[in-house]
Amino acid sequence: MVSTNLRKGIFARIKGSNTRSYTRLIGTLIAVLLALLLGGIVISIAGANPIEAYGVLLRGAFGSTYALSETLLRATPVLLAAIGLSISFRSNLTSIGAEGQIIIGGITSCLAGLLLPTFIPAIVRIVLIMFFGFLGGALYGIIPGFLKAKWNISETIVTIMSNYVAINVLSYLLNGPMKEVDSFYPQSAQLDDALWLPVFIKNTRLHIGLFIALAFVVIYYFFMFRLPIGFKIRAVGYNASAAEYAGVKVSASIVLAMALSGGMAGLAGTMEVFGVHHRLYNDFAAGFGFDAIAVALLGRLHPVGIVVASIFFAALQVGSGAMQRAVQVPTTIVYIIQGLLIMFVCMDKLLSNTIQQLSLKYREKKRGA
Amino acid sequence: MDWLSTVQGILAATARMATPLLFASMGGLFSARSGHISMFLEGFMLIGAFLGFVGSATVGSAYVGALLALVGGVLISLVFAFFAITAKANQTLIGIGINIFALGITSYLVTVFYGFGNRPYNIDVFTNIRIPLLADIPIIGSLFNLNLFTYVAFLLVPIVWYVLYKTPAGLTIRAVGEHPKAVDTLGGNVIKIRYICIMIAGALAALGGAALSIGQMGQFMENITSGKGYIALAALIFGRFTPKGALIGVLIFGFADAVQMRLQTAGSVLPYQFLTMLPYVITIVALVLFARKSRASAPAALGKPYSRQS
Repeated sequence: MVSTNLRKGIFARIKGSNTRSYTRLIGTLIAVLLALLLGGIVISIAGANPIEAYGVLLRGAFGSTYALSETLLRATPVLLAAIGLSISFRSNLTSIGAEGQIIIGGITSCLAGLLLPTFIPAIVRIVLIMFFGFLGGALYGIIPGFLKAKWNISETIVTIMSNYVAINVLSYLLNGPMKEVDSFYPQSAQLDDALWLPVFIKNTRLHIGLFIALAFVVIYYFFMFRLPIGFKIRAVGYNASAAEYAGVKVSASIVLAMALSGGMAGLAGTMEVFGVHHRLYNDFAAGFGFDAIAVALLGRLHPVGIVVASIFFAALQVGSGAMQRAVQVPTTIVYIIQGLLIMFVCMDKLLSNTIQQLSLKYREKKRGA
Repeated sequence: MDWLSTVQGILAATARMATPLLFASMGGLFSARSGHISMFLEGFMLIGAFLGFVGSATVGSAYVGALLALVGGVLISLVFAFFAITAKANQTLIGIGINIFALGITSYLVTVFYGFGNRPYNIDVFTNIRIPLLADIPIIGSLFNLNLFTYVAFLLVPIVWYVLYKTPAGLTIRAVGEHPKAVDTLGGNVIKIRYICIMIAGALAALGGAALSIGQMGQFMENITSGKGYIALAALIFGRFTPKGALIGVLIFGFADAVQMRLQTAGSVLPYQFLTMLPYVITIVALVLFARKSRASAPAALGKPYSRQS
């Protein structure tokens, strides 16, 4: 049993290294093209010209400094959460929980921001706030991780359920204990402006969270591909029984992957609260967790790929607003493209096989002629 | 007697709330037993809920709505089947992709068709059918004054049980999920059987969605299913992938939902958010309680695409 698994692992490894990276890149590009093409058909159902609509979308996302800054602003939390998700995906854990972990991270960091005494220097408080945001998300990720490691309970279902729980917890807190005194709206009090993440381009909302997110991209690379612990996490995703046989503590690795993954999502929530809204309210990060899934997959769990994919998705989100205003195409088109993309990207086995077969045929033809 | 009417009300509400879940989990039995991770139930339900609403609103007959939902469910299920069976892609991720796509396309089209806040509200729905004599029984009589969806959903349980366990076709379906190679060796067409099972799942889950829109609410709104497909899947898992187990699981959720709604209207001391999250918390707790048993009962080839070479 063990030996077959080992053999399988080695075999998969050899096969994996043979899959040329360019076929994967082509596969990804084809997936994007197909999704945009089908999206275009759906746009024409709404009575708009798809080319014109996509043009408006592009201008809305990149057409001015402000538009570009909004796109990067939207990309920041999704980038962080997607990097986090990649850790669990690389460990073969299909976590859908970023949405809930972002919310919990937003709650814990906001609480820290409101409760930490003001005699502590602002910079120390900011560090503590980030720590609590990370911790909140990490703890919320540990629950499904533990259930998976201990009893093999589907992490997918538990994370989906805990998303709904988090949404309700947020709504309860904002209508109850955390509600701003004398406010009509369900929202928390505004945070001390010494704690706001500074904006670095004048007249925009783009804050330094972008650089923190990019720093985490670099950390992710070193952690996953240069450190033994990252190798262990990947080994578990690769072939859990072979990893166990080789001495990796699989349960601990699963819990760690889910904790880190949740922690980064929690930090993404922190960024959104302290960088953009400066208070907590319902839907402060609605849909970011689902964007992160698509971004992680589209970026092939690769640091550079994820950066590109996060900007692509942020552009879709920001540009779709302009599209709705200009040509009356509902913004929900983004979800359609997102769903299609996830499906097409996952089809890469078929795509790369087809490409390889085609190139083989082509070479044979050449040899024959 | 006030408590008597409360019990009657909760019994009937449990059956009503369980109906969409029951359709989805009975459909999910076919897809799961033939070896598929059935995350897609949520998306199939959403498509069904939408098409049921559109059919009923356009033609003016709830039956046309249900038929349209069924056809749409089969069509969307073919999309999943193509990706999962033919392209051999990761079933969990394709399921999530289908669900996000379904959420997008239904929210998108409902806006395109009816604009913002201009949705037809007086559509034809499945009304309660009172079964004579049975409906006059004290207390449980309320269970015999429900709509057609609910009756069909509960009739499905013995039918699905019979098909899966007492017919040659059912044996083949279960074998495809346990040991597809054996079926292939004996001359069965694994791919074809798996496609058919996914189509059955699509048809039934979509009817479950229609039971929500044109059975319960008489309305369609964005994300009307709000996780019910996943709850149906959870019911399957801790029901150990059997019709009876799934029925019990679904009834627990239906009951939790019924109690939660009764408490909300009665004005409970608990904040309503705690009541709304109850079904989701119960799902996690139920999975924890029944986890060890269900691990052994999951089909052996669950989530594994079939190819002759391996």
